[in-house]
Amino acid sequence: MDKIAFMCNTRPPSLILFVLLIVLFGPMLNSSLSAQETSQAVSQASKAYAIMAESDKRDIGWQDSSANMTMIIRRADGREVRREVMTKTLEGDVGKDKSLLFFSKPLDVKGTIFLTHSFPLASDKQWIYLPSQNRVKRISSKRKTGRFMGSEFTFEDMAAFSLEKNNYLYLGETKCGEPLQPCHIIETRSNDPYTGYEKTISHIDQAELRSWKIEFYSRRTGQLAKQLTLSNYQRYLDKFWRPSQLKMVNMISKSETVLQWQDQKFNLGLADSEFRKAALERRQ
Amino acid sequence: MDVKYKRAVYHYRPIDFFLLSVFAIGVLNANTSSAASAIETRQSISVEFKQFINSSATIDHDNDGSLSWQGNYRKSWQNNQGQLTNELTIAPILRYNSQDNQRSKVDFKSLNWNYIQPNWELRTGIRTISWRTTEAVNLVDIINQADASANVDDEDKLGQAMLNWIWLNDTFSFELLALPFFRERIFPGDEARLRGSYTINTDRSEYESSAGSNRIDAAMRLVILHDQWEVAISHFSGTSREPILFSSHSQELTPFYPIIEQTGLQLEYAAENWLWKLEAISRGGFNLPAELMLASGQQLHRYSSAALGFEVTLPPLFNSNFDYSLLAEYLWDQRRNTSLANDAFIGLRIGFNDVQGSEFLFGSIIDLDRQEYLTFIEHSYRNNSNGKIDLTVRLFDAPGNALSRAAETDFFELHNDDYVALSYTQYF
Repeated sequence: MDKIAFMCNTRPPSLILFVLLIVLFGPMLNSSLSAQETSQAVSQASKAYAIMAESDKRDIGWQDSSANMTMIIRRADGREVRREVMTKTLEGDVGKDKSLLFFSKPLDVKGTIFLTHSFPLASDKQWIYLPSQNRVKRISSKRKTGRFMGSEFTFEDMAAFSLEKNNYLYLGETKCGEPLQPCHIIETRSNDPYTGYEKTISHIDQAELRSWKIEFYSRRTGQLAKQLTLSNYQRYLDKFWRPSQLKMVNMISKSETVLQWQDQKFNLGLADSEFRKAALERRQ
Repeated sequence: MDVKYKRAVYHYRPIDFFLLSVFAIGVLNANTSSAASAIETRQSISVEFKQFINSSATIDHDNDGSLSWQGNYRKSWQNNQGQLTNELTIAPILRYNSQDNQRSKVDFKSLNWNYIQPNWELRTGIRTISWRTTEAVNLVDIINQADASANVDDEDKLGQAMLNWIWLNDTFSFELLALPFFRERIFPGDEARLRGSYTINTDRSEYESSAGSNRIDAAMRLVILHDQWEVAISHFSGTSREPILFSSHSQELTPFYPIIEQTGLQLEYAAENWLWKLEAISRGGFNLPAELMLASGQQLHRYSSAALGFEVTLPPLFNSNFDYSLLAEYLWDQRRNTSLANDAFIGLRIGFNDVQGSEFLFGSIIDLDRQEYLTFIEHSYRNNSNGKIDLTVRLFDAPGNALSRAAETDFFELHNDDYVALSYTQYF
């Protein structure tokens, strides 16, 4: 009992301390740079932010979507397993999306449903319905570094993009995509203390602001850990670009996961009531 | 053996009429919807082998085997706008146990029709619903009867017939339940391990209600979701799912089902990687004859019990692919002489996040008054895309010089029943 109360009391102050440290020492870090370097860094950051914000803005208005996802997990020793998941997503105001994942393969997790309510700044809310336990359980959205269904994608990689949860930096220009075209190189650093990455580096085409390649740098080692290649972009509702295939390669183990999207549909008129915790409880 | 064969003969029962009506109305109503989905199926066959570590003085076997089959079939219908309006679910379970008739069964976990509107739903038929927040005990969860023969914890529930109306939106839900067709608790049979030294005579069960097992029970529940909080207040009025066991004559216990009023509170608060959990109940209405109160050891007309604890997701420690969750709960009961009256639970869950979906669980309930332990270790993994292996170890540790302590310890009756169970489940 005492232990529980003790932990409850110490949590908020530690957060305040963290904020204080940033407030106190954040400016000191910047002040060590020359004024010119500082203004250059700020402009590179705001340029990158502007690009990401524009990309985010262009993705507004699809209302809702559904799709089937197949994951092919290829391990370095050549063994291969498949995962199948059906997804439904409901677009909300500024980053308040809701999503449902219905697992269908492997069969032992068939019937499992994963519900996420995303928030632009606050932590996401997640619930899981496990048919084997006949229970809807709230789960922590902080388990970010775990592999999603044993694939090379982590829970963090599968989460909805949220503009304000990251800091950005413009690194330069390159060529990328199919066909090869002028691209921005943008560095993203997550503000989330639970992130598994030090940074990610994205190659985004200048014309449509689609990501074609993302490099993930491990927070633990600082080294390039994974590389994601996005391809077969399709345009839906004459406006929204979605990749049909995402290939994540683990640069260390050499195993890879190919994620394929099929039957992507938008603006279906999905009901908000489907994305409630109570809708999961109906399965009991 | 008599009992076993008697069950196989069909007798008309009111519950059959109830279920038939629910299904007929469900199918007729569903067919007015515009589109029907394909039937979603889940099926599995499971074999379990259990080996007891010590042999028993009174029961002649040290192992048992179970074979079970479970199915879940769900069909849903949508309206013109593509919104779900009706669903029918049938979930039968068949189980055969080599040593115990009570553990063998043919039953339904679900057999229900749900009528769905954006802000209200009617869920009728047989369902298994769980009102669970904490992990070690589930005090509030009272709708379904427990199958105590299947497992030492109450996790295995029997389907309950119900009419369940729910009014809901994004931030709250309010539900009313009418619960006809009470079901008695199933206890391990006489020849089975994992039971006390007394025989529980379920053929002589008694009820406080003059209607016996035919009383229609009622319940309500209000759930509020606000920010990172979830609050649920519930009330149950009816025949207790948990019987009072009183000794009618030597070496035999008779279940007595009193009428109770139980108010429950559940709280859950999520803060970063912490989940705080509370379950509390106040259960009353034991207006029993004095001799029954005495015989059962039940002394209070109303009592409270609670469980408070947390689940914390730890940052990656040794391997960043693994998930580590630490659980701790304190269990309290106003009736100090009952089991789990002043106990602590600690648990550790490791999700390996590998291709096999491996998971490791360790948990221990510690009686703080008597230094007794109930410990379990579970490990499960997928051996191929459609099969799963589960290994369970349960240890009941009640130290001390045996017989003199038998009456005053929680797990003593089971202290000789430590076991290792291995099961294989094939999904298709």
